[in-house]
Amino acid sequence: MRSRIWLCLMVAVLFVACAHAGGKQALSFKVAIPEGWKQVDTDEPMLFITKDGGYKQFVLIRERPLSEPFHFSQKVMHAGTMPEEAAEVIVNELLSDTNIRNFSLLENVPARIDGRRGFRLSFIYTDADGFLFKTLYLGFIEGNTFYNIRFAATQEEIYQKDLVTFEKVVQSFNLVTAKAP
Amino acid sequence: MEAFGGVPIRKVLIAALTGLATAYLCGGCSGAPSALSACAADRAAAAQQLNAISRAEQAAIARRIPVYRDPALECRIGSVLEKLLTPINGRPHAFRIILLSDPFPDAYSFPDGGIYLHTGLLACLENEAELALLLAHEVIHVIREHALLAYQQSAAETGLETVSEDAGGGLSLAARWNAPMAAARWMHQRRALEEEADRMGLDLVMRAHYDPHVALKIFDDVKHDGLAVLSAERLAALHTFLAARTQTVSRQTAPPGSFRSDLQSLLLHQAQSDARLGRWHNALKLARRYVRDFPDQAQGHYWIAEILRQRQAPGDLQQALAYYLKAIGLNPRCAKSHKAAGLLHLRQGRFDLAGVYFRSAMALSPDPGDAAYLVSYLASLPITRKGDN
Repeated sequence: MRSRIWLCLMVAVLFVACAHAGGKQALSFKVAIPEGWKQVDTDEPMLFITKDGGYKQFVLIRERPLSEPFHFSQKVMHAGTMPEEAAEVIVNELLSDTNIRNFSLLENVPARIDGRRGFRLSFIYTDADGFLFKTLYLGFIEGNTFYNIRFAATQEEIYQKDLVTFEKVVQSFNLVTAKAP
Repeated sequence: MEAFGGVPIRKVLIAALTGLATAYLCGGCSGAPSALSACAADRAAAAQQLNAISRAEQAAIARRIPVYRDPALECRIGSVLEKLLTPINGRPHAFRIILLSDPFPDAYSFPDGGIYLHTGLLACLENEAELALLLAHEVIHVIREHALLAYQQSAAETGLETVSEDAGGGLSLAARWNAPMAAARWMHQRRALEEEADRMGLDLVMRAHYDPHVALKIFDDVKHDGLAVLSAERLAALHTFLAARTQTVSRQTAPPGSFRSDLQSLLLHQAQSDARLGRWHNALKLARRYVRDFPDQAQGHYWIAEILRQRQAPGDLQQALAYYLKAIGLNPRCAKSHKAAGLLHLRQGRFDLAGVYFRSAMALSPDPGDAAYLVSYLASLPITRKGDN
């Protein structure tokens, strides 16, 4: 518990520091942040928002260059990687992640995100602290960037309640700048 | 693999299982009766501490590494262990085998008789005699209390006091390992313990009527990233030891075929694990071995194709297609093989053939996820659009 309080404090400090630093790389997408949700600033090219805290629920949208290998599986995607293959890379990474236990894939289907062909995964897992997360993970490739939009919650009722909000976030998602190939 | 505040768990395990304190123990135990009883008390205290650490470390392993379940293989391993233990008088230890789904070829044991075998090591074995030698080596570590010797030695080297009986005990053991030690002395002691386990293990193998020459092939079969896991010097010492034995060597008690059958599921499990980690060479080796042992099983061909498709080295996709077609030939009702063949045709712009395989996959009642992707692929085919118009 103490470590979690420290983590919250550090995130808050980071939030304040980043608000004044202004050196963060601009994101190439825009979304409408739902009312009552807070954005937690990070140095990474991602958007992290939560309503009640990261251990209740969060939405994380991340863009990563295709050339960047995934941490555990060391796999990479390519511009020609098909949505199902991209989903396979993500599942492999999750299965290889040593911080994730009891991973169970519930769904892997094609999806459209901002009009682009992608995939949708649904899965549950337990993190290193023993928290059970249910996650919806959308992904697609545009140019040389892989975009992923994920929603996770630690309780089923929170998941169900905020799923509608997440769907609105996804609907509001759009790319504002095309990454240079 | 990390545990206990970033200290590699493997190091902790090695620390628990290796190292020789013969000089320390013998020196301390020889002398007056009062010194003897003091030594026994020290030993009992050390054993108690070690058991606490052992429990904590096994709990950490249980949290970090998934157990691999395979009743047929577990039964085989249990029967081999039983054969090894039969000639031993009295059984102070309750041995138990735990299979871990870990691609790293490794095995280790704990003082309470827990023997841990990684799937990455089991997948390398070719016959039951090799398995017997592997188990016998760990059994000797337990019976000869090598972990306790190592523990007392490390305590003597570092001068550390007792450890508490909780999960923090692992940290203390790691501290012992990390404490400064004369490297040459440590290596010499560790090697002495391992050599004892090698020699006495080989003895056990022979007493259980396994062919030791066949068993020793384990050192040819088990290689990690192309490197031998046992030094040539240690292997040569084992051969010398074996040559000096007058005991008649018996044959294996089980034909290799039946042992291979028990490894059937594990080979594919391990090939998939290796493929997930991008260890293409190992993954392909295991899938090819599966096809060698079970040439009529479609899934072996399917998995070679899958690994090649994921690796995508030059020429891989063409080869993958050939394996998918072979898998379809052996099991025409496998929807996944049809879908994969269709995808490879689609990737190479052969839309008509892609359509044929996608439609045949759809007709084979694929699972909902595959069906959804198939619908999207069929919708994307130029020929389908033309037909729709």
